[in-house]
Amino acid sequence: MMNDTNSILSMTEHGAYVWPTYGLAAVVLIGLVVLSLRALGRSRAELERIELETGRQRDEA
Amino acid sequence: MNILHRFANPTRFQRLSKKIEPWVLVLMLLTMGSGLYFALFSSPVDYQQGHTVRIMYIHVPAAWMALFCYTAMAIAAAISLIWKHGLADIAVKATAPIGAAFTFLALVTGSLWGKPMWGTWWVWDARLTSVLVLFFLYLGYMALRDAFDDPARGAKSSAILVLVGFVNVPIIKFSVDWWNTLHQPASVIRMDGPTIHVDMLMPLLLMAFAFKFYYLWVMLVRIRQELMAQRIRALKHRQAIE
Repeated sequence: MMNDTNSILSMTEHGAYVWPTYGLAAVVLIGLVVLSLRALGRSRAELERIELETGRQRDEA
Repeated sequence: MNILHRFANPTRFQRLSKKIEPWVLVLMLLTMGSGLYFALFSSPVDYQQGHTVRIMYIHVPAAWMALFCYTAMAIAAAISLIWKHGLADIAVKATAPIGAAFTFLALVTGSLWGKPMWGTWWVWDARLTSVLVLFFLYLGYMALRDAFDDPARGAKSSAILVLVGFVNVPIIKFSVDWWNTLHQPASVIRMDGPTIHVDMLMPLLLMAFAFKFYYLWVMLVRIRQELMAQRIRALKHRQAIE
């Protein structure tokens, strides 16, 4: 098992390929989660606003 | 087919989705966390590939997901076209960006693995080329879907594209057998069992499960968001009429 930090990072010169792999995976997958949750939040806020508006219009009618 | 139509009802779906989402999230975090630990720190170095074998724990599960997501899209597209199943259509739309992300990951991490092992970032190999075509199919679906003013027409034509493009999935799967490719043949999903040592197979399967739970969780979030977007469009339409 790899324990000292140096060998973890360098991975005998293959670290230059391994760490970008894991970094890219993190960026892509986390990025997709953030985009999805922000879209969900926006839709929820807009839906609540419209439902409020629709309810108010019905009360006035 | 009855169970199919039971979950066509958005309200019933949302209730079920809210119940299972937290569990799926927990399972995703557990498998992802343990998978990454084993992948990066607790699995052996390969006697030939050295540490680059650790790229396998991202590349292979991502490639599996690229095919899995497109297959799921094709099934859902068929259901939505045949039975006019609204939720199946939304599932196709929700899955596309996830599948595209995994395909992108499979292509780039494969390239990162290819450089030290093959001495090149890219080669027009049958497997690599057909996966690149898959990536363009995902992008094509998402572009076609939003290319119409009428969402229903966009949904229908893009669903047909998904079905037509499905021929690419078996081509990808069997490309390493049909053609003389630089890319290695299958070493896990094989008729006579995996050829990988258990110390490497375990992180690989953990990451595969983690990516499946990730897909399920993000898809549920995106389906809920699309259902809300549909309701917003309907309310706006009603307001415009009144």
